[in-house]
Amino acid sequence: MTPLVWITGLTVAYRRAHDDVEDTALESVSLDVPAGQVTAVIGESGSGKSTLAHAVVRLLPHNGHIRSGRIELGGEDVLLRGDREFRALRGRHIGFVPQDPVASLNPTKTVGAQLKEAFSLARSPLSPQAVEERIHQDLLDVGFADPAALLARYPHELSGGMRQRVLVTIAFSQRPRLVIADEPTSALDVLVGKEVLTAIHAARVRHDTTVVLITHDLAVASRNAQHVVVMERGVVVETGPVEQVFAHPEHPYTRALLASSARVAQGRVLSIAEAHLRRAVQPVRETGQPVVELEAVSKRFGTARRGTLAVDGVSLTVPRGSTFALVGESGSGKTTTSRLVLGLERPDAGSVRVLGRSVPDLRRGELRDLRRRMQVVYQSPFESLNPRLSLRGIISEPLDAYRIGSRAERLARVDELLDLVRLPRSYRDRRPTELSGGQRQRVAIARALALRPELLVLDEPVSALDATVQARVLELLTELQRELDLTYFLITHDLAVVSDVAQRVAVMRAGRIVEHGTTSDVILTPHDDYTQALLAV
Amino acid sequence: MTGSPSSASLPARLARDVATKLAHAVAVVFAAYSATFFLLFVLPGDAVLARIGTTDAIGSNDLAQLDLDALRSEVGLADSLWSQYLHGVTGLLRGDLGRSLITEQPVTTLLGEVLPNTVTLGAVSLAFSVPLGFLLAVLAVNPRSKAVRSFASMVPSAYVSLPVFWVGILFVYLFSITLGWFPSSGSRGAASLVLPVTVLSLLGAAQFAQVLISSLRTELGTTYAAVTAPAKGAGRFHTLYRHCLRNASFPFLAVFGLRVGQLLGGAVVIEMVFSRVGLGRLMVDSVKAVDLTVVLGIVVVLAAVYVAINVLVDIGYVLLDPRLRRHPASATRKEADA
Repeated sequence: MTPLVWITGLTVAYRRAHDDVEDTALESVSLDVPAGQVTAVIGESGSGKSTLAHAVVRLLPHNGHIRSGRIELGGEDVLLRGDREFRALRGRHIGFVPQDPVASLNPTKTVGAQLKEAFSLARSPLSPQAVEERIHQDLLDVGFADPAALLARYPHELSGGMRQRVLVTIAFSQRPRLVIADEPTSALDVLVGKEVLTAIHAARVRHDTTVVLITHDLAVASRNAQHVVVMERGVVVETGPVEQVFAHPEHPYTRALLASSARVAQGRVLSIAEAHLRRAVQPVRETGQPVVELEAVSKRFGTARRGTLAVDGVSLTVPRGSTFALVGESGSGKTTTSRLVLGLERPDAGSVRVLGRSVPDLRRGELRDLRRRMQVVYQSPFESLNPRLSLRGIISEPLDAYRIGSRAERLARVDELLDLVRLPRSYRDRRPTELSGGQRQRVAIARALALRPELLVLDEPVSALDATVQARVLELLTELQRELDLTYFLITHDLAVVSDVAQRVAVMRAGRIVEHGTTSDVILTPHDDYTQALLAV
Repeated sequence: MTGSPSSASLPARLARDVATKLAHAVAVVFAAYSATFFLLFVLPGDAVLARIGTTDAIGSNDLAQLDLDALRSEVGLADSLWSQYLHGVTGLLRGDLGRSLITEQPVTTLLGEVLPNTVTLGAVSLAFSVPLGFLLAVLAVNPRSKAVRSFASMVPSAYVSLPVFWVGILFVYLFSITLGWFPSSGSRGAASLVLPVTVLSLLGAAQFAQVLISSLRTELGTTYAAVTAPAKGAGRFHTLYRHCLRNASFPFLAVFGLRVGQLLGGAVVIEMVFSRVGLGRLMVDSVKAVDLTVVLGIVVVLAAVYVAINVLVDIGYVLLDPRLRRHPASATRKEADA
């Protein structure tokens, strides 16, 4: 099979902001992309897979530049083209699907205008009427039921999945030979991500397009690609057909990557149920009073006529020392439920009892005392840590707020907490920007543990992290739970995360709990259609 | 499936918005009037004393206390604080701003004399500074040459740090005294406008450019401009002009509103340097003379203008940003299409 793209010895470097030191992001990368198929580029963040994608379309950040190498597209070394000549390739010959659907569309232009612009910029020979017909058909093909209405809407009126499908439509609109999709699903809920991948495949097959899929999710790579390129720290460590590489990995890094993924074994993707059977969660003895008890809780936002019922008659209990997982997509009400538990929202009806206290009835001071015993770890470790503080400042902040201990005692506690989350004590003077995503999330966990809480609310604690890092953070959480006798209230959109950490699961949709039970029951014998759909991913 | 998902009808919502804004405007003007009224009373001295000379004059010369009282009651200053205030407010409601305590001319006449000058100066300088500000900002982010970009982004910050009076004097020295091209002072004729307009429009342009440069840089860094548009084949200028300029102009609108206020109320310095008749100068003179009614009149005009500008800026936001016109689709609709 002839390759469409042939990259040899590609070296890309980023210049640092303050000094003129250059960091090499890609080190003589060589690979070829077979025509008409899907090639997945996998690796953790920092492996250079995104840099590779941007180097091929020559859209590196301003401080990045290609130092040497060849990128051949259909036999032509495109690096010899000047910027202006290269621009003629973009859109027409190379399409690009960016990672973040929220920031990737202009918020003040209609979807229709942004779709049509792809044609005018590519100097499409089609007549305006033909352009409209083509857009209409393309939108139908990626699963929009009513393209005409979509065209007049603005991006903020669309869901993340809809925006991403619009971006897929744009990328394929000029029938390019190559489409590069840079983590097209990592910012989306699992079911929505699946729809986007389906849309990409539909377009790819119809127009015989070669696709390069950048992803950190091995299950996504295995399901969607024929070829795989494994990258580690700017170097390609292994390439080959997906089945072969996943079944018989040769490089130690590939093996480690595969071992860390609960979803891929012997070269194939396991269903969530299969993965669950392999790593069954440890049961806990459910004794004593439950830590969290919700009884027919409802919460409405807005007025009765126009508002939405975010939480609708939810009842659940979380036994001490266990992990309870609340699963649902964005907008399902799971975050509102966690805010009710934390006393950040007041329920309109029903009772919320946490650690034996009725949360809505607490006075401010009592709530403050209760908050010592329940802490939160948020989704994005990139936003939840103050970049100006050192780790010591971040971790001791709860201690400062509750005036616990002397200065020396607080310092000692910070060291203890760093040990607990398996970070070196020498890190205490570092700032969050010097850490990786996984390390930052460890810091967030250390901060949450500072006050020795009994309950941790974990709001999507790993969804912003790479698959390998996810596994390590979840492992840490499980170990901490045993060591410190913690109770976890875990919120996630991904049932796969739940399977080996939670004893109990509730699946939430549109404010209601549609399925509720032990993890094994829910995963192995799901009754609700929605749960079944989530499990089929 | 249409784009405006609100349930209240549009005209009804619009009427409610306008009513709220109007009530708000009246409240602001009234509050400004009252605050200024009581503040001026706390200040020592009054118009009568200011007219005679200094406060030191009392007692030390042969001015009898009786004369002062008579003068005070003549202009209404002898009444109680509250009755003066009520008198002023009822006048305001009738559209009557009263008469100057010093010259005894109606305040509206005084304002009518100075306002055209100030408004012309402000409007002309804005007309120049807006395009100039955009031009500078574009030059600071678009050209390939880094030297051009750095220079264009340095100019605005350098210019705003120069004191206006100093630039004014420099211009007078250079263009009137040395070169003799334009008159250095006066308020008559177009030629007298050239120098003050230049000074003010450069300052405005520099202020506008400063905010625009930073917001343009932010916009150019977001994915839609840094990746999506170029990936369609857009060049730098297309991306800037067709995508970023509009989104970058939201902070500009806010600064524009502030600038209009500055030009009306804060033109004192430039009016002094170029010896022009204007609102700022009238205000300074009236404050010095403790001419209550004139100061209050100016305050009312300024407050009204500020309110009007704020409304215009709000309308500008709504016109520029569809997110303020149309609220996100409801969850049910999203699901229906997803």
